[in-house]
Amino acid sequence: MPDVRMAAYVHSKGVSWEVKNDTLMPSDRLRQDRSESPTPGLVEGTEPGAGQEGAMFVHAQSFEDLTADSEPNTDNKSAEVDDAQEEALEEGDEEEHLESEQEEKGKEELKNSNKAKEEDVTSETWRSHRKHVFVLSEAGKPIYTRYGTEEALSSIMGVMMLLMSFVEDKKNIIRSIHADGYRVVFLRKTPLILVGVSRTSCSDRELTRELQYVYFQIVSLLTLTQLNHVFQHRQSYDLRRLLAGSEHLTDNLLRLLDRDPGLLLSAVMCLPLANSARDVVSSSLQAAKAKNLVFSILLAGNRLVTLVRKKDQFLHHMDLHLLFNLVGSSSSFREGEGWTPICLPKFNPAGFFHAHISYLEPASDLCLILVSTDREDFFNLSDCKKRFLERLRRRSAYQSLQEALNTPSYSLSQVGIPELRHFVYKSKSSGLYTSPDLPALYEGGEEQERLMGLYQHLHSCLHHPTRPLRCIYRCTDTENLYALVTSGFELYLCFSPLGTKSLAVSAVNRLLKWIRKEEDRLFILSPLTY
Amino acid sequence: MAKTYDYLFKLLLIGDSGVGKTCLLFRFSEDAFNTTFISTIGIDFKIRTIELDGKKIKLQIWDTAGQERFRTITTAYYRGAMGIMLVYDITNEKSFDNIKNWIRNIEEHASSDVERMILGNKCDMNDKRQVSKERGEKLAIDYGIKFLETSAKSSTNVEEAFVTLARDIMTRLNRKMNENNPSGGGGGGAVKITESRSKKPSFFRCILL
Repeated sequence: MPDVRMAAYVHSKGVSWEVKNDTLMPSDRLRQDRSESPTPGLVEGTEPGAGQEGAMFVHAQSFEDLTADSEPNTDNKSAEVDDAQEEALEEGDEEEHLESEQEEKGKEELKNSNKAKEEDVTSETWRSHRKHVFVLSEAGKPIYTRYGTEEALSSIMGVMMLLMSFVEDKKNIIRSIHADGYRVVFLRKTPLILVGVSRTSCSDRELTRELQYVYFQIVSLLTLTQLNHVFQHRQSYDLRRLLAGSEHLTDNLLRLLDRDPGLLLSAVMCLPLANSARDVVSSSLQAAKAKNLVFSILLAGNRLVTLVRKKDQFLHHMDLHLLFNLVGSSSSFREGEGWTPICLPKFNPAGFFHAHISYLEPASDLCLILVSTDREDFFNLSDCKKRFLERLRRRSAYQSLQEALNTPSYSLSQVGIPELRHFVYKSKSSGLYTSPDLPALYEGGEEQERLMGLYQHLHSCLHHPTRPLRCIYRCTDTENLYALVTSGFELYLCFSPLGTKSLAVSAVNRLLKWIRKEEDRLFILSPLTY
Repeated sequence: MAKTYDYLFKLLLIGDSGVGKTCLLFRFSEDAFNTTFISTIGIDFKIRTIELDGKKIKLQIWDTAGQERFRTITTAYYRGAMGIMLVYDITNEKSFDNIKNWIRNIEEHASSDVERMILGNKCDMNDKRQVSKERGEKLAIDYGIKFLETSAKSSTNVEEAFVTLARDIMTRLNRKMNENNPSGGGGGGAVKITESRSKKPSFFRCILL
């Protein structure tokens, strides 16, 4: 067990923050119900981006829900009361982190992604990856590896399974191994075992969360029912037969986990769009409904345009991320109309929905996903899409959408806080977040992942299971970071290294005012149901 | 709404994953080839119209994923198919051996009068060939099915495959209509092609205009 070390972070007192909050809401935008809140701006549901009516998503804690050790419909060993203390990030780790980044150049290209699968697992290149993910069955059969081939790794996976079994023989559970700058995290999700290896600043809980996503990606393809069934009948079954052709989905999901703050925050980003245009799109989807339709989702690349749901049915963020991943990982939906079974594991891990997936036009980034309970529903949903398109055109909304697609994001210059380099703001009650374009400084893949790694670290400090924080301010050689969590929102900010903490605190107030002013455009404030 | 076609034919593409089903369809519908392999997810549905012997034929084409986990959803669309293309890859002997399994699937799930055609794709890759043309022809003869070697990449026999299958469907359809109307030229009316229980039976009905 490594020595427990106190994290050397600057803690900001909440009192001063609460006082400053009184000035958050501009008088010209004050709303009746919000002004009645005892602490305006802080209370959940009144923060910028909060919808006026019921949320679109399952209301979930951003972190605990995804890493809860007890979940319905899955067998899990009871959690140990004490989690291992995390090691504090040190400068040495930082340097190592930077060095390993250099070796990751180009790995995001599809071509390299294919090459990565064929890497020699005895090579230094394979060992040098910052992160590895392995999935094996409880019988030790290889199922997935992020780099290299499963065949070549069967011995290593056998060792992983042996380590897990050895500890369990002593009525214990192996959670992680820390050694020589590496972290190895184990997660048993019967009938699967997932192992994550990292030499980044990622905490054990962050790695476990990523493994949870991989697990749910697999459940999404198969259903838990089928997964359990195949292994009950034959413990040594080779699950790769059923997962054939889906490796790119898991590969892409892992890339998203490294880069997309939405997965970290359990939140989704919206396409910036005028409120009136979004309302027309939503009501057009609402009108184009069918008996067995449960969700209608319009995506623009990796942004949500709108989501219309059946009354009393809520979509979990993780399920929506899996849908985003499905659409974003494959260009096969562009030309025609796709029809595929999909399990939404947070909604119901036992059975399939069926999704009609099509782009509004082949050259467009607008993708419509219609989720139905009926596997014979293809033509009904195809008709829904036609009616939706007709209505959009009739109400001249299609052109607004196309124009919004030309500016799918916004730059920090619009915010007007020069010392601020980047931020991520999540509205808790709506489950939506907003974040500007990355500035040139962080545009490269490695820098983007480094920044995300810093946010991830702040996130794990704020949401620490035993010692959570309300806010944290941290200085490094290259930037200063400030993060805070309230009952209404979470905010992560990146500043120039020349800034000060008081400057950061005042920037937060200005930023929140700006987000409030822009919330109509950046968030979905009036979600609809059928 | 006035129909813009004379016949509606439903076609199905089946075969192992990676043999080139989607590339064949892409070549036929867009006259282009994409070298990147992107697995089809579930079923991909496309509509294309061709002209055949002076008639406009609307082809409703279901391109299926070959992977095992999609079997339950893809086989649900076998019934109602009027024509099925079974595709293998001449550089992959296993995909050829599996044609027998795919035929068994058809016999189990498709209507008995479905038109079938076997395609040995990737015939431009002769240097990596594992299945001779003669073996492909023999298998097809054994089952009484037409056979063509194709290449989506070099655009060999692709158009011919789709047109041949459509013509065979039309021939069978005309023969059936003649049986129903021995007098021949009398008013055609609507003819139901299959016993499908689809909720959209009109998709499987042809009307002579």
